Amino acid sequence: MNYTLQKLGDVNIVTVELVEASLNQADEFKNYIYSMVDQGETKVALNLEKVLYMDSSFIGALVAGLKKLLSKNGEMALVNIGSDVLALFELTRLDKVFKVYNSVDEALKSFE
Amino acid sequence: MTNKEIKLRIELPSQISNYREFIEQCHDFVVKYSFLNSDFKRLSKFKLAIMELLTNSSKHGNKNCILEIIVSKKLVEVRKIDAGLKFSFKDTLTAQDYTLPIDPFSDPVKINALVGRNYSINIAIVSNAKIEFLEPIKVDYLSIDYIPENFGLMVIRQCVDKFYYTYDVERSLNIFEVSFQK
Repeated sequence: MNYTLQKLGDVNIVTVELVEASLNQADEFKNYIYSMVDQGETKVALNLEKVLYMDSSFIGALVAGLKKLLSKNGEMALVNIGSDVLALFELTRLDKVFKVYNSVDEALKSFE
Repeated sequence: MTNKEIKLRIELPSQISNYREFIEQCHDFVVKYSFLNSDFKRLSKFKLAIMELLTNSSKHGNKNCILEIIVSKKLVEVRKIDAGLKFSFKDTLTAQDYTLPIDPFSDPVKINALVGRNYSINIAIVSNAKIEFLEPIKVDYLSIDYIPENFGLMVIRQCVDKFYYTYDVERSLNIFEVSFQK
């Protein structure tokens, strides 16, 4: 399984179990988030600590997931982003769009 | 480092399942032979550019995709060559659709090209079969609705010094070419 779900209260902590998050998983990931939102979940913290490489297709899926969550007044937080992946967020200026935290605890506090 | 050109040529599968293998192969090559070897930030951008070229290959390249890296004393060039669909775009100002080669071609011109939903980039049409991707203007997104869900060409452009697309009419090939200058 490419994603591990842990629930703490109403917050869904999703750990992306991928070293490479790319075009190959982008649709699957988008559908995974869409499915959560369709089931009524509105708070998602994505733990990206295992992701060493990410491409623009996967970032596109993240944007699609964020749009879906925001349309339901939900929230998404990104946690533990590595330096190469963070560089991609900065180049696309999405570091200004997503809420980025250094730890799951920080992200959980932001949802309170 | 040497004055001569050194080349790495990689045949890419139509579906790339292991990006890391190719990225590290390219990374190790430029670290060994090019001036990028001591520049951590540029090496990071080099890896991002390679990743995006690989994704472009998987997305649009069809089969028989080639990645070439050519290193010389003051230049690192990367070419992604494929026989997939030709690159096409729409002028956001005039709504004119373009597919290369442009016939008839009059003069070089700079336009804002729509290449996807909410996704436009500045380009220079250099000739009937060549465009240059220009440095994007940095803008903050006004609303989540305006954020595109594609970023590949924009990412590549920001990682490199020059970025061109050429359609090789004789061989019916797409050539995406990026370069890093010393």
